Amino acid sequence: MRFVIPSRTWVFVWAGVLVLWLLAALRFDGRILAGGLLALGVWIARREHSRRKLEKDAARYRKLLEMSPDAVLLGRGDGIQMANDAAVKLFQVSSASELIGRRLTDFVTGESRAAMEQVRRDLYSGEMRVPHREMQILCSGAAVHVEIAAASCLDDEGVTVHCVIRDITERKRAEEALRESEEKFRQLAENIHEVFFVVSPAAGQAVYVSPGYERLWGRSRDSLYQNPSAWQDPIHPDDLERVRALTHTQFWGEPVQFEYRIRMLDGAEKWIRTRSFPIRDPAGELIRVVGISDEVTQQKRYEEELIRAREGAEAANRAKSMFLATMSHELRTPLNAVLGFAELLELEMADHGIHTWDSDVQKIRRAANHLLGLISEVMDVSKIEAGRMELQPDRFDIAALVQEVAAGVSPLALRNRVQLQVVCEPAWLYGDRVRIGQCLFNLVGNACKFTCDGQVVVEARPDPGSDGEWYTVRVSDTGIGIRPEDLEKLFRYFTQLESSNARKYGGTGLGLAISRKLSRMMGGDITVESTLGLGSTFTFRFPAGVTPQHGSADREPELSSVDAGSRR
Amino acid sequence: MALILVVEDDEANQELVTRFLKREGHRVLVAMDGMAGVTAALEHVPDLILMDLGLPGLDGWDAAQRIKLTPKTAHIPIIALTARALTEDVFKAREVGCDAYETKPVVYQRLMKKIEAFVNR
Repeated sequence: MRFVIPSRTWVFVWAGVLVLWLLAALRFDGRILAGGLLALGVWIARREHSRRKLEKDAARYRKLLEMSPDAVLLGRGDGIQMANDAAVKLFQVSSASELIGRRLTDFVTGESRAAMEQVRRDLYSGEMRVPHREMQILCSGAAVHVEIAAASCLDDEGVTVHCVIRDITERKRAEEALRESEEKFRQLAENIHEVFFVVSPAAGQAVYVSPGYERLWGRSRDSLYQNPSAWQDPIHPDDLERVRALTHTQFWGEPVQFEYRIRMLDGAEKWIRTRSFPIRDPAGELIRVVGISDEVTQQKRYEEELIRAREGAEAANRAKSMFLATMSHELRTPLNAVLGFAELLELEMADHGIHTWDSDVQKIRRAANHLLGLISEVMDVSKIEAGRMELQPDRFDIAALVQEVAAGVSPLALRNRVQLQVVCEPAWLYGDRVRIGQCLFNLVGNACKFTCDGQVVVEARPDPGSDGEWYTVRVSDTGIGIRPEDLEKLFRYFTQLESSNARKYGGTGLGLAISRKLSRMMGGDITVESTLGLGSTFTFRFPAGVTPQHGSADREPELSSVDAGSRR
Repeated sequence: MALILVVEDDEANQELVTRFLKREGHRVLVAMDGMAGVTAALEHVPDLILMDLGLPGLDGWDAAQRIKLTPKTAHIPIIALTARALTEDVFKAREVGCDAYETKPVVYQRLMKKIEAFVNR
């Protein structure tokens, strides 16, 4: 407790000093009187200065009080002496005067009243400060959560209590909401089938693991909280390195998903899938990693069965392709010998002047050639149907290709007395030269086959307006023509419109079907228009414009299998 | 009358081509695979080589390339025999230096004309 001299004592002290000084001044001379008056003047001036300073300070503190968001009260034993605007607002009164003379304890509600009385007793019994306390006060009937800080000080007028009251209703509400949401989260996490976990990246340790862990892993959660690396123990040794690496990735703030095996205490294995996500604070700092783990043993088993089944199917498919390729080669080789020896026989008989069996030998050659064509086409059909036909696009000169096809067909045209006309400007296209050539050979060959003493025109040109993206070859003949109802049948496998045609014209009945399938694989099509008895026009349209800059222009075919003389 | 090297693994084809060539009055050397073909070409320096492309071991393209890269045999014309026209095989044959090609089934009278043209050049 501080020692305070009451102000009345000071008056007596000062009066005594003044009397002594006057007596001294009268006994000595005017100089002492003058000096004394000067000292008095200085003293009065200094007093005035400090009075003004005090007033200024008081104004400043008043301003601060008015601005304070917290209620500030000054009280004495006989009630509240002063209240700021925030207090008026808090207690919901019309002005500060309504609060003057009342006691804070009047406002405090039941539960907090005892605490408030204690505070009051402490303050008035000389306790200087009372730490922050939370209380509920009634403000015009409504309970308000507040935080009260108070201090007392003793001066010549007695004990003054300074009190700051802060409204914490909002904070309380937020805390309550958080508690509720935490409770909901806890209930959810505790009841879900999956394992839910929260990891602190800073500590590198789980801060929460849901009870599902104990069911799924068959281990206690306590070990996870106690030992930061305990989570690694159940993981299958073959998967551990990978899981460790991925765990580091999740600490970089990446969402990750991984699957791994764990070993149960009884030695059984389970497949687990874990997905985790980063949680960041508003500044973007990684504060938590949350994740969910679940058992996927059954799915894994299905996946493995599927993979095995697919591998089996692929192996079977490879074997089939291999078989086809081998068969193709094995079938052709002896046929080549048959053809070669038939040719030799014909020639050597002619050398000896024997022509008796010429037509028989011709028949052997024709049949063998037919069989060779059939083999090629059946191979193509198998490839297309198995989805193993692959296009190999490259740059090529369409004019050279059309000429080559025309040259190949020219012996047939010659035999049927067909005038074969080709209209084609040289142009570099991009496409599968072999397959486009195969389609063209088929169309032009058919045209010459089904025309006698007539004309076949092959017109090849880029589609107008397609900017070179599309190319069209039209093959028109003046042949036997096709009935309208038969037009679509043309493109089916093993269809020649009349069985007598097959004998008369030869051919396998596969060529057009293959050509159309090939054209459609390229993204194009083959269509037909025809008038019975007048002729047919086949239109082969295909994309050709995607010319790569690095195209190999040097691949122009210079080798020719056809004698120059047979070119038209 | 010229010396022709035939590199061919199939016996029936060997016999056929040999008989056709002899009928035209040529002399014939036969090699069963690519390596034997390269060796025979270096040893006998024939006037022309008929090269089957699908050979066991060292294939026809490799054999042709070696022959064309060897100064002593580089000048010898090579006619390649391939299973399919209009294919990658033909481009590859040209790339390694073959001078012409014939597709199987071989029409021998046409092949003989082609050989005649090279030999008389």
